[in-house]
Amino acid sequence: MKYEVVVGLEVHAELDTRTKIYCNCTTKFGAEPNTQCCPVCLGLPGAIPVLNKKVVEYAVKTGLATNCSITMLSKQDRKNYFYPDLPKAYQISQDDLPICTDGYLDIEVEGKTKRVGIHRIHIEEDAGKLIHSESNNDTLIDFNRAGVPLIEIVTAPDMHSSQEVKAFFEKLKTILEYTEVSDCKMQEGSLRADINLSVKPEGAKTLGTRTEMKNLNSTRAIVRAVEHESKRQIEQLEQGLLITQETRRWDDAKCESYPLRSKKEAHDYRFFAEPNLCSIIIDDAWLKRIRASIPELPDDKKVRFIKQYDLPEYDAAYITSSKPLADYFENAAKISKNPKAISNWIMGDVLNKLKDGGIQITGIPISAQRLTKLVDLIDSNIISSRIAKQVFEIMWDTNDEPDEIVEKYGLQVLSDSDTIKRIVNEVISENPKAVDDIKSGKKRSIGFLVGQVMRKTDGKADPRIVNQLLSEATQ
Amino acid sequence: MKITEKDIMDIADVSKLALTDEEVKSMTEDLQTIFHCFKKKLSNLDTDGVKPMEQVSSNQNIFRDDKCEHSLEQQEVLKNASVNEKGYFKVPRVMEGN
Amino acid sequence: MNHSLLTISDITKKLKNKEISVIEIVKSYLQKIEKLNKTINAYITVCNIDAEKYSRVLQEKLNSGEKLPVLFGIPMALNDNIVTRNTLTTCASKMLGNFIPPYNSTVNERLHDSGAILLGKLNMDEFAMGNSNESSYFGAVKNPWDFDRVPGGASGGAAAAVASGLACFALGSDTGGDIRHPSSFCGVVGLKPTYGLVSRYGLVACASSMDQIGPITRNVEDCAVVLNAITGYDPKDSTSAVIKYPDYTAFLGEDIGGLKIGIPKEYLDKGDNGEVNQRVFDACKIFKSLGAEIVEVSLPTTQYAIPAYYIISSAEISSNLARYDGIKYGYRAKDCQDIEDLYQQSRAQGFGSDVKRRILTGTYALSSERYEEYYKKALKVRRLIFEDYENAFNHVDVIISPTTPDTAFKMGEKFNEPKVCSNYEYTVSVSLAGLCAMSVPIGKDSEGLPIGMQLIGKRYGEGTLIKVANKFEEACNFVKTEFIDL
Repeated sequence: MKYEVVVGLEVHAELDTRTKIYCNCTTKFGAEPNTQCCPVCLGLPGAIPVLNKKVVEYAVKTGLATNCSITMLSKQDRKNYFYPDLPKAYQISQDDLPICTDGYLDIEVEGKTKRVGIHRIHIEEDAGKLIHSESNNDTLIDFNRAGVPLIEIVTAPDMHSSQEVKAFFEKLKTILEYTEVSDCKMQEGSLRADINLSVKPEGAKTLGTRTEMKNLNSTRAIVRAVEHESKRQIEQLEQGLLITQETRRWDDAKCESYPLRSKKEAHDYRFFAEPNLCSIIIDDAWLKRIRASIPELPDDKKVRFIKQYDLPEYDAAYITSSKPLADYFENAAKISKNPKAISNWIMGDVLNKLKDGGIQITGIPISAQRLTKLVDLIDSNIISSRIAKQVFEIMWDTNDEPDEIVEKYGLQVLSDSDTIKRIVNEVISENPKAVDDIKSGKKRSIGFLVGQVMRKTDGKADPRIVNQLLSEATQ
Repeated sequence: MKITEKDIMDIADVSKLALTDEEVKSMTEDLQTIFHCFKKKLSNLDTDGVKPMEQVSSNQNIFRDDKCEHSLEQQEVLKNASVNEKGYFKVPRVMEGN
Repeated sequence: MNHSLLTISDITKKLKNKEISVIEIVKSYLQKIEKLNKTINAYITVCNIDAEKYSRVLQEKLNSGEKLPVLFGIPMALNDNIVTRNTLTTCASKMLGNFIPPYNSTVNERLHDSGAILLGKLNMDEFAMGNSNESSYFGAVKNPWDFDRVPGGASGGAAAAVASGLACFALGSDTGGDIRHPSSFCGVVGLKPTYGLVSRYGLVACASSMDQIGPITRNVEDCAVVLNAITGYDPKDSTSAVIKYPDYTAFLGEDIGGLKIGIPKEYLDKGDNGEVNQRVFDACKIFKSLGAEIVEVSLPTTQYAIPAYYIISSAEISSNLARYDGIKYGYRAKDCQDIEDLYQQSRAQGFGSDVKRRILTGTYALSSERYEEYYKKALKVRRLIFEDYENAFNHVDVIISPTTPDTAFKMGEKFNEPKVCSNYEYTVSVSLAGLCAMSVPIGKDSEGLPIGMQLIGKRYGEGTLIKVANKFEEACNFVKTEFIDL
């Protein structure tokens, strides 16, 4: 039997605000434990919350960028449960009136466009961090993260493969980066996804029993977990077993999932309106201001890059999939006479370097301006493309200006015909057999002679002149 | 509707309150009396179509600016915790999914 | 010299005239506390050292001729659920028996800046739940008028302290009547302000949608002075009222001619304690003689106030008190094997039985199976009650009722009843509607126990209440003359 996989995601993104959602503590990552806490985020008796305005604006921004309706009047609610990382034993979240509802994102998978629905986006507070000590039989708690603002983005169960999930997640991540709502540093836990997955016989109307996998914190882990869980569920069904509705934990190192110890009963969160906070009204004027603050989004940028800079669709899609990369490209492209060449450099040498060095895009050591200069040097025939690769390497390591490098190492193209002619003559006299071959019609041997000339000039001879002189001399 | 001892034990579990057998008994009686009496009383009042009123404050859009202020010193944070270690609060080992 | 029965304005005058020093006043209060607190048990913590220290600082200011703030040199005390930095704040619970807050409540900062001197922290019902002060982990408070009787609750320590001269004024907290009830039982003036008028930042929560801090004083003038000091917009409290805050002392002495005072027919039909109702009728006569008009009003839904109040407050309590888990602060049970055990035992051992009952009640009312039937229903009743008052206040300026149906009862008398806000029938509806109300002494019953009337005002109508109560006080000198000097 053929099966269909049905996946929905719940994505938690930490918002890139300076302070926490309900107090003035900093949200900086990596501080000493329990040094970024105050009476409010520790839930000390008597302390009460006041909402950070930026949090609302960022949530609305995300909603607008993902085609959501914005709720004019929304409220915040308490979600009650005990867990040692939750200082008040309730999380302030949103229940029935989330800030954004009913949006979507279009994704491209195997050349086809597909729409993934977004049920809702709501604001809530993050919990603290538990550190389980292996040696001792105890758990340590750090509340620095408690109260860091989150948005939770809940999709419809509209995805049917790991490719679709990957495409959606990456698209969403790009949008969060473009709108500067989240820094999306997955290694710091700024972006986490829960996967709800079920399988059903192809064509079946009703959904199968779903499982939930919590806190996936890399794209690779998400893809692998979707693939693994799909396979696991299909195997179960094929063996005639039922799927248990449960929460499972994904162990990315082992590429395995296992069920979390199931609770005595399903959680009853006893939601009710947070009495210490008041309603949020988003009127047209405010909405307009937020809308105006949204930058050009990846889809629009891609179309523009294709048109304005004549990029191939693939390159444009790739470059715009990352805001820093798109910015880097455009900073170079707009001052360059040859944007296409800039794109080629980025897609080739720059990305390879980043990949080899494990460097973030924001860490590219060559400024956009210098990359433009390098391309200019090639286009104005001051250096050859081959030499340009060398110059690029030096630029990457030294951060020097390309023209200075060319000057310092004497890498200019050798275009003095007399000098080249002398060397061509040398090569011809040293390689009579090749000359004979050419004369007898083996035109390919001319390449060999070009190579010899280049060797003698350290690759600097202008290849057009070399070719021309060699052709003349071997006729 | 009757509130049973099992109900009380379930609620006590959700509320994380270990009750003695005696307490279970007396709380069952109390809650049974209270809710029975409330239900009887409230059923006399028709509230169809009435909008629930969670709060009386008419405040809207009360916000804070996104500006950092000093947090508490770590020792102040921890001073009321009877058990702490190396700057952390400490509890018996928490199994995931607890 | 005994200064303990002076009012705020008395003390202010004497200080300005250099008849007494701040140091002397504080000393005399501390001495009286030392002598009487063993009996009355109004204080959980006495801040001898800090109070004397601050009195010396203030005395220097006085000597230097600086301009003096409104509560300069006034010795006062705070309910023990009002957070005081570096001073024990227990909520009268074993759970917070060792809790020393690293921060201050807004009201405490305001009082300190106004020159008031904190004498100590006052006993109350555990976590402000109760009507008799018998649920305190630190022992029951006694009614200064009769040591066999309760002072009322939950702010019983506050009312008892002010009535017996152990503080010039106190701040209590009121969720369903917890300032008005003990004020009535102890014969003092107690105001529950409109929800949002006084910052709740640093008030340990009972039921957050109704909790309010308010003054307990010996007379109405003092109430106005204290209110001036503690009100004002607080950016730390999202529900802090966004209004122009008046000078409440400006209402003192104002004429009440033509003012309409409503008397709810539902309340006086009941005829429970004849004496209490009779006194309220007597008060109405006095108001008439002062030129006010007495009008009958109807509050038909208020008969449902107790169940609605009990459900809503318990629901909020169950959530507000979930944070007490033994981890970050508060009582932690010993020798727990796992986290579940730590939660269950710390809470079981740290909370008293009234608190447990409220937590269980609230958890039940909020559970998904019961939510519609109880919690949501109660919220709907709340709106109807709110509308009842809105309608009534279309016709009148103030509503009058008894504060409590009876005077102070004997200790132990009601302790074992399943407590569902008995004695709170006149006060909880005001809390549900978020209005202001004041309990004002109007005489004593045949056993010599104080009787209080409740004056209910419109939203932010504290000025009117002060005006009406102050006129009443002037007209009948009970309040001014009758204090117990133990």
